Amino acid sequence: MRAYVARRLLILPAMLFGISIISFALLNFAPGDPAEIILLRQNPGEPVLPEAVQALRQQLGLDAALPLRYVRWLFGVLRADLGESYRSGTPIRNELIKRFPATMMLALASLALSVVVSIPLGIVGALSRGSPLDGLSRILALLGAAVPSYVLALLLMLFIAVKLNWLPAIGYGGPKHLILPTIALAAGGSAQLMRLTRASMLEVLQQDYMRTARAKGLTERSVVLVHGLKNGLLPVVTMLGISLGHLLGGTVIVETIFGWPGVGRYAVESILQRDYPVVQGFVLYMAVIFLLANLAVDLAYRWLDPRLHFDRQPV
Amino acid sequence: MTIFARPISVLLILMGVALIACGGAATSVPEPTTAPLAAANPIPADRGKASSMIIAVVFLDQPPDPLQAGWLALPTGLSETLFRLGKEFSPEPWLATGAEQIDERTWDISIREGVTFHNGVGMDAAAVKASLDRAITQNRGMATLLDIASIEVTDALTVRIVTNGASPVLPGLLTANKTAIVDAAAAKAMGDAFATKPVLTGPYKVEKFELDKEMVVTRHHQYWGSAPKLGQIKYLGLADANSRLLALQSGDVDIAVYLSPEGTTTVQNDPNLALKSAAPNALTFMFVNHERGAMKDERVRQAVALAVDRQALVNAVTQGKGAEAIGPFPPGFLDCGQLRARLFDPAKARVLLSDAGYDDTDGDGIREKDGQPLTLDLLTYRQRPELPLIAEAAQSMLKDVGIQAKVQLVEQPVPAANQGNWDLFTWYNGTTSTGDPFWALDRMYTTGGPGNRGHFSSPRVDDLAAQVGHAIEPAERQRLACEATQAIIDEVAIVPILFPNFNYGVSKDVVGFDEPHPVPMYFVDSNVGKR
Repeated sequence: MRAYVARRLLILPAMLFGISIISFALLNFAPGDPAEIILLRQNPGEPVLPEAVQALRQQLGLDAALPLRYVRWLFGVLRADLGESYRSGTPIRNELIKRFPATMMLALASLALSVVVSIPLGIVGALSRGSPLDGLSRILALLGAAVPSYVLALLLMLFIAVKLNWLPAIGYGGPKHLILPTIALAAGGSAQLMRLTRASMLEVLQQDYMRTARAKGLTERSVVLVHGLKNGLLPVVTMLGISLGHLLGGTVIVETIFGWPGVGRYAVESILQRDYPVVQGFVLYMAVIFLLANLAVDLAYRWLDPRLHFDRQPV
Repeated sequence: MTIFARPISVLLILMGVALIACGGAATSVPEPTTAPLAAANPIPADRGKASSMIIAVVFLDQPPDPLQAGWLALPTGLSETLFRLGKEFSPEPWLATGAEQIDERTWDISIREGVTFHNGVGMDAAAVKASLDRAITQNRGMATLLDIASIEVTDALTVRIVTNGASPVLPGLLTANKTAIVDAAAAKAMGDAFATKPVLTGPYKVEKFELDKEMVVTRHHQYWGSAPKLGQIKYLGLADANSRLLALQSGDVDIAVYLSPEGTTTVQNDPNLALKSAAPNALTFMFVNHERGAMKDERVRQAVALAVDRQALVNAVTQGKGAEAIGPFPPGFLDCGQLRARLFDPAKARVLLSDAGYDDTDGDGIREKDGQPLTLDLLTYRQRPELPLIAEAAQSMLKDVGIQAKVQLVEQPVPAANQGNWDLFTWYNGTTSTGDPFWALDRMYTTGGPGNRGHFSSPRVDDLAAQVGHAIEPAERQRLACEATQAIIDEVAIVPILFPNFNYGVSKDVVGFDEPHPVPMYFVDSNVGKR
């Protein structure tokens, strides 16, 4: 297994290299000149002088050829320097590090809420298939999947913060600021997780080994929890890994609406203003997160299903 | 000489005339009517929550050094310029006390006594020179705009500015937010740290700035004007208009800026909130692409202008918080008397389209010419929330006269406009910058102007704009500017739609913010406070 992990970690830089080339090229093909967009932001509603655009392009180094800019950026990355933001002039590495805890807190809280709510509901739904409880959990799942996070976020703000005045509508700081964004963010993922858990458990419950376990005289509790759950959770673990990746990068909308100072909001502001170095740094950050999350999922598989071997092909 | 030297020099001439028009002697700038009083009022005692305020703004995405984000430093009460625009859009002294023109290229600017930077250092003529030097050496746009040859300190409170070309309008140019006076010595000593904690002269100074998150400012105890009413103001960056509104309704913020059109109604109906609507200073309109197919025909352009019911749009899109636009300048900016306007008249639009050869031959409701349907690409963008609504409404109004408009939402308006694949493009532009009509006439309506995105080209307008630039007599200048405005309307350079008010939602506890300045740049001053 160590060899497997080492191999995966060795492939990581090569994959990051490929991803960075693709994203660098795509960014530069996107319409919009960063210099012009920055000047428009600095002078809202006023025409931009082409001369000022040209001067800023030179200042930002945008007049250099694309490959040269990429090489410059790459050498910076090798020295752990992601460059500086066009719009603020601050080092991007520092900004990402500063914002990561806020996003991590929100992502982990949402993941925890998803797990606590959806896995038990999924299991109960599978065990009592067709019951009113199963129906209720399916309706909840449907709602969670159907309502976009920004709509839910605004509804939560309207009812919980404005009408009932129980929690603050926006902001970052204490635990009470965390509650609404967590619910808004967790809803969509929870719905998927609940449906997946239910479907997976239903499949597992019909397997021969479950019948064998019951035939051995095991209690229903241990049949479900030991034999059923461990097998039923395999696809759920995959989903959790991918979800964490999405949550760590995909909190964009929720962060923007709740004024949450995380990585996602930083990224979306940067994308809108063609702050190329920040977007490039963000893509790299996301790539690392996803690759590590996938590795963690693979390792979790090994623990859940000892039949899997990393070092040899399946027979 | 660059292609911009001509407009800028003409602009300089013109703006001097604007100053003449705004009162006083021909070569001096009068004392302000709206600037804070220089009396050293006692600083109010801080009373818990009443001494602090939270304001939701749209962007906190650039650090508040005036050279980087003058648009942030000025409206948040951090920075001040030598001159500022009054409520009638003409320049008035602010950190300056007056200006005297010595010859066509030379101005003596008197500096206000008793002004102190946020670090306690006094502001004098040498500091003003250092600050302006910093602006023109570090910012190409400012260097081009001001066109300064030299700045000389003639005494402790006077600077003499000599420009490269004739400069009768320099005070108007010195209202630009990037020319705000900074302690240049502190900027040099602080290096990069200056960007997030600039040393300025306004009633509030930066305590903490965190990009895209918040900016905390505290009272400048040695402020030269009336003592700032608040001990602390926290600005939160909330890009989403609904978030700003909900944060205001829940009491998490005291003021929310730039309400969406529908948000204004919500605020008006909430007994704990009040709507403060600033008189308009910007224009919402449709660019016309003068190089594309049907739009080259003036009759088609006229038909489009006649088909749009502006009053309906004012009522529906801005909830009545705005004014119908018949020309490029907001009410009160130019005194043109009665302009010959093109008002809503769909019947006349249909006649014009028939005259131009467009008729509905196949009965599908869309007019054709030579078998080709009259289809226009109408682009819009979301950054100004009223624009997509206007585009959709215009689409329906155009269909009524037999024009099919295909609405497309673009993410970045400027690159999309530059690509040229459009016939109409909803847009929002400031028109009152520097307090003079020449600024907008020259940039937006002359051939090759940098803001002329529809490539409008009219010898008549070019000629009139040039004449406005050279006119000396205020009455003559006004007459020419009005004539140029009439030409812009006649030739349908653009389709003017409306002048939207700038709307703020405020909690009932907010005081000193009864009549917001029409220029949003002067949002927070020392008078804003809380009960």
